[in-house]
Amino acid sequence: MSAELSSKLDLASPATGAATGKKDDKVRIFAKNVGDAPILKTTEFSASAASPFSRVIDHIQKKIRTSAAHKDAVVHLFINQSFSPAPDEQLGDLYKCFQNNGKLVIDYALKEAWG
Amino acid sequence: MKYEEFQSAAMAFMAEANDHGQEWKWVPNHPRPLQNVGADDRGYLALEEVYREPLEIDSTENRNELDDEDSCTFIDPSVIKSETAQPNMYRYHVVYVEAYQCPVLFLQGKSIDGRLLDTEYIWRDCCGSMNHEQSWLTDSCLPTPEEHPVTGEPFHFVHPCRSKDFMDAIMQAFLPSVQEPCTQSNLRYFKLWLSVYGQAVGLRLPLALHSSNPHPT
Repeated sequence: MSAELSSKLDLASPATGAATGKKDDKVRIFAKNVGDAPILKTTEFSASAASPFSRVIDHIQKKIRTSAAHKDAVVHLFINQSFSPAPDEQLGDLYKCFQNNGKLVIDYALKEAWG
Repeated sequence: MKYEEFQSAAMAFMAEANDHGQEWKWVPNHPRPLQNVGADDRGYLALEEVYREPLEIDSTENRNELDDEDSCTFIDPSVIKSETAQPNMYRYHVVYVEAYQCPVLFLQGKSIDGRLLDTEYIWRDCCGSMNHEQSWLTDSCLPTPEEHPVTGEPFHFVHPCRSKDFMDAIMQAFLPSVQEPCTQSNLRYFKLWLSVYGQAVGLRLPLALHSSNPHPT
């Protein structure tokens, strides 16, 4: 993972890529756009395994909303192309169940679901 | 999604969920003589008696606010957590509604003594942990009061106006490279739909349910 392509949701140690449930473990995340959702400048980042999934939602939505065209965008995130995790689901648990080649692959879409 | 597809997916989902400790049941529609609605061979999926601890408001903080007369703040007594606070009980029903051509998620909340929880309480109690001050969910995902389409009981529902378009788009985007059987596709639809709309009203599904049908990316 190149430095340019990587960012960290947490300011602590670099990603280890292996979540074992310890507090300072990191989960590597790869974010992939779905449909007409814009591609993020930084598609890979790491986050604490102990943090909730809501941190990833916040992070991706914040990045997308920096564009004027998407300033009110609501993102929906999916794992395994099969479900949308609850915001309070722990990243470490998601990684253990659904990691693929050392990364948690997350698809994000901007399609409006509510209304 | 057509009704037959819904029923097939709901049955398959129920079997898997029950294997993972979440006790969903299939409920045949009942006749409703007063509404002149007869029985049919349809039904809906129900998860009953989901208990949730009531709102967690720091009682010390509340007491401080109430003690300070100069900054007296209105406190809704129902949101003050006491040592004797009892969990609330929620019912989740998944009903296929022809008008929307998709499943619709209904929920009903009751206090432990059987009183119906009102809409705003449900928003705070049931949806609060999910969407309070979280920008990705908006007011439009909050459940609104609605009569249960089968039983006629007072429920709330997650408004389904955009569900069909949303699900069609997502399912299209997640088409597997190899064509899958209809039954599997319908089950995938059902799980994906329930994970999206259930989280808006505090419905948690076991993670293991989603690992049983891996769809490599």
